[in-house]
Amino acid sequence: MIVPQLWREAARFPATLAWSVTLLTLVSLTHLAQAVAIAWSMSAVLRGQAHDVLVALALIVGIALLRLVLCLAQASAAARLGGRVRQAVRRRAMRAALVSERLHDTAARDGSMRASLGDGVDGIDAYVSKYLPAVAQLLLTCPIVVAGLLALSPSAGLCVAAGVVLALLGPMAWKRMAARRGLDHWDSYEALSADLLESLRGMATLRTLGDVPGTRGRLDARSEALRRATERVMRVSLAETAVTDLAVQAGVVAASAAAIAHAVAGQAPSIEVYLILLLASEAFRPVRDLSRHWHAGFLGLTAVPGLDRLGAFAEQRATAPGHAASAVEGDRAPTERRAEELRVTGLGFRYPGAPDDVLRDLDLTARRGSLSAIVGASGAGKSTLFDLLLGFLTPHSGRIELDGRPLRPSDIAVVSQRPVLFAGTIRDNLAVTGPATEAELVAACHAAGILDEIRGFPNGFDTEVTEAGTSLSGGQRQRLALARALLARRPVLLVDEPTSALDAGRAANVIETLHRVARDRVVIMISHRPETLTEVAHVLRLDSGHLDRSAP
Amino acid sequence: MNVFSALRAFRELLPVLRPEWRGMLWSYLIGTASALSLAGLTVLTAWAVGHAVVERTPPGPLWWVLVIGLVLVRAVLTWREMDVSHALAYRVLARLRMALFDAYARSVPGRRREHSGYAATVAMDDIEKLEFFYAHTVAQLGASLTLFLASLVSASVLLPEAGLVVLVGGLVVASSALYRARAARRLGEQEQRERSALSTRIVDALGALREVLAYGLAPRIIAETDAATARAAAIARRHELLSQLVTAIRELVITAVVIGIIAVSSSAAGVLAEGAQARLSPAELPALVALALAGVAAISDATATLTRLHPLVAGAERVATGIGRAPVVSVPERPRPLPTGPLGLRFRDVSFAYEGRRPTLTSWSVELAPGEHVGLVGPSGSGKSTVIALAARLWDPLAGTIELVTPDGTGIPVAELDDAALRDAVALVDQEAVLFHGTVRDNLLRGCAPRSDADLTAVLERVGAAAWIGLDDELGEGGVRLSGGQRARLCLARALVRRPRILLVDEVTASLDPATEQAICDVIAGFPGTVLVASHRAQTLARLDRLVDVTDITGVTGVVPAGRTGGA
Repeated sequence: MIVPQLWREAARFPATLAWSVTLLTLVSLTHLAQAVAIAWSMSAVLRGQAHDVLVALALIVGIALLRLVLCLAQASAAARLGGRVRQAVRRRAMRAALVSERLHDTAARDGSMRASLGDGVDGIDAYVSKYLPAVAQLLLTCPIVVAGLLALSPSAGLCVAAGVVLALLGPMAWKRMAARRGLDHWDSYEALSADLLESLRGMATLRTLGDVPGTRGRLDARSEALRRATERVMRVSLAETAVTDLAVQAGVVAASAAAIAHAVAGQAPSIEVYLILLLASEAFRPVRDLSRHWHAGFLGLTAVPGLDRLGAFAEQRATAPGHAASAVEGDRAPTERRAEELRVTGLGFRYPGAPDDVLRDLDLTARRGSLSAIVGASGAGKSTLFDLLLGFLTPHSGRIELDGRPLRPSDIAVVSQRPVLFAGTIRDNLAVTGPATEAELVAACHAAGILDEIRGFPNGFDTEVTEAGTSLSGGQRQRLALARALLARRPVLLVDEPTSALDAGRAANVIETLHRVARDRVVIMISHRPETLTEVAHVLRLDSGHLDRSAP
Repeated sequence: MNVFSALRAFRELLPVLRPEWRGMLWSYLIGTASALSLAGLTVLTAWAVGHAVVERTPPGPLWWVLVIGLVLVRAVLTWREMDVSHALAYRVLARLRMALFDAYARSVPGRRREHSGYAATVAMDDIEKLEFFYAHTVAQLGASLTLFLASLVSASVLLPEAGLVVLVGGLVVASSALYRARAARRLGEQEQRERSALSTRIVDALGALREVLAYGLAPRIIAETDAATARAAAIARRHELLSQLVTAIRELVITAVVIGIIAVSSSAAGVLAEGAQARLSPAELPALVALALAGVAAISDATATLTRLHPLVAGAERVATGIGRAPVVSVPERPRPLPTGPLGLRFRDVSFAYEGRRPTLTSWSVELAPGEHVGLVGPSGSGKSTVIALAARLWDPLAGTIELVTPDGTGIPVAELDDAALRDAVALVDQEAVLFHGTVRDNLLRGCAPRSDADLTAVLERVGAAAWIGLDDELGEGGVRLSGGQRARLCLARALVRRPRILLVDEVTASLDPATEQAICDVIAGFPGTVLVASHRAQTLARLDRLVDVTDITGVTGVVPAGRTGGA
């Protein structure tokens, strides 16, 4: 079965592909040569020519050694091809997955994306490295063998040709069914992977809710669905294998019958009879190989439609306008840039499918030198405003400008309300935007009020942080995220509820730090707590999508 | 890792096969029949060819019937055998997945946190890879061995020295199962380490997507996964070369065996030396060669299967380790019933430490009377969340007991309660609470007895969420479109829907605006049962009966009058 996307992918590496196919063809030629040598040795044995027997046996051994070398070279070339295609597809799939659209997509599931990017991409390797060269090899060698057989015995040649055609076309009858069932299979694999990852991440919540049995039931249903889908798609593939096997055996037996008829009629010397037998068997070797590789690789193919939807096979993918800058530009150099003024004019936004605007006709000006604060009831659109500034959402109307030019995502450092850290050391987490010296790390952590705690950890800055930073308390995570944002040295700093998980003393320190850093950058803080706003001159109240200036 | 530990890893995965013994037997029988019919087909064909070449006699009608019959039977048997063995393997995999989930449900979150991306690779990829083990190993090895014995016996009857060649050849071929086994296992292990590292990386990047995009880290992460893929591909290539080498060596051995059989049987047939006494008709020669070859080929198949198991050892070990994980909370042998009526909460000399950290709690005690509302204070990172997690029995303490207290003062240790009864009585709302993919209704009802929509809507109104969300709204993973305050309210609603007797609250009001905080505090104040709230918000703490300091390490319950802490 031909999967056009994967053929195109393989064709992007023409040299490796050609090398792999050539070597595979050479390997099958050694099989043919060996068949000839064996036929010769058998007839020599029957005729009692001891010398010929020895020469033929030496030939057999020589050919076997040659094949060993060719096989190794071929395996290496094939694996290289598979690896390169995997790498290219994963690169494009990752690029398509790490986009801001996911942030607000209620249908997006990390577990199914994990399955696609991981197992899905790995699954195509078997097809590309094994099946694809085997198809090419079959098209090259089968005609040669059939032609040779036709020359030896037209009837045997015809039998074998019919067998090969039947073995290849027989499974085609199932092709459409296999494709449809393949989709079911991958869908259930993704669904199970998504539910499983979600349950693993939320296991503490599930346990405290007493929902472990309920979740187990749901996962069991998913797992059973996957089992049934796999079984169904496997059954089709196995039927194909059986049809191929039937055609192979029938072809070989028919060719043998032709050879026997030949021998009985006494028309040919015995070497020809053996040659017919062995070549008939060789003609089916590529078919058998193909069937074997198909069986080994077809489950991996079920991921192809999903990867295609994701855009893993498209070379030039149009990136989303809002986010394009940060993906392409990726400038992480901690350049000291200053900006004077962030100005938002006439900003409006509505989530797709939502009845009302979250923000409408919003104007906002924040300047360097002093802290700006935004207050408002939860759900009033403060986080949406930040996402618009960051370019994660595209406004329906209005402009966002920094010193008169459009604001770029790389201008902004951000501390979110629930910051997420990566699995790795504290140092890795702090220096995400580029290398930092020890002194810089210490200064940033001191300013964020986390230095003493880091020094209190057994390994200091080299302490490992667990997934999503859950080994730290909420307050520690917030202050680390602040230190990280300070280290990024970007002209705009957005801070969402920086003190929500802090006690009063620490909260006061953090606010003091923000006042200080606001001297050389534009700082906008979302806050609910009146005590954090006492010193802030510039407080804006966000109310049903509008900003109003309010007294401090 | 040696052969024995490899065997142990697989042995630990065998018990799940026990309920499948009928399927295994069936698969073995069909597999053997299929292999025998293929061997029969080859031998019959060779026999007819031998007679046709030497004696110029065509085979009789019986031969035709047998051959055509075998071709058809073989096709059906092949299909059935694969069908039975694969269906069996998929049943076993489904069972393993659930066994692994059960193990994780008992042991996550551990005192040492583990990456969910890693756990997900074990549960999905490693288990999926074991399909080969369950579908191809046991029954197929049995069938191959049977065929080999059949070939050995019949070859020995026909010509003893041919039997000897088959035996020796079979043993030599079988020994190839161990060639380079250690290297193959090591490569399998490396391959798998790369796979789970990649999975962890992807899960991290997706989970922290906001941060990734905000700091422009996407190109870096893509480059890292690219390099990881290249490394994995290089390992796969070495692995492929290794298995190709072993296969080629095996083929050489088989070639040698073929030559040996031809030589031995030819000399027995007297075709090599003039005048020697022929013990075998040359017409039977091809049939004998085919017979011997069928036996050696069976062993070769079995060996190839075994060779493919080496790289799976690492995965098998991880799955076996996963299933055997130690639970974080003990399961009572005879769970005690929980009396109806109000319940209090008591910590008695409780000590706790996270792995590799200084102790968080040392011999810490506190008591909450039934119906009492108590606040838990202390600087961030001092262990407030740990106290709440222990009360919710996410972990068992290292020392001391945590008890639910009836109005007459009787304490029932939570460790002696049935889990369902405990979860029914105690509800938790915390910073880490996860909202799950699905509708609001799905989320509110998780692990809860059935409730009417009217009840659910009433609770949504109580927490002030009814204005902006309905029961049928989709939340998405983690409630992607909601603000922190909105998530906190939904989590509180989910706890209230369960009508618990003890409510544990951890920092939920932290991210709320004053008006919402007020509303939430009203809801908590109006809660009829016992409440333990960890917070540093003065406004939240002011509404509680009394405060307890978690840093009070004297072992005596510190009672601080409300209003004296949280200064601001």
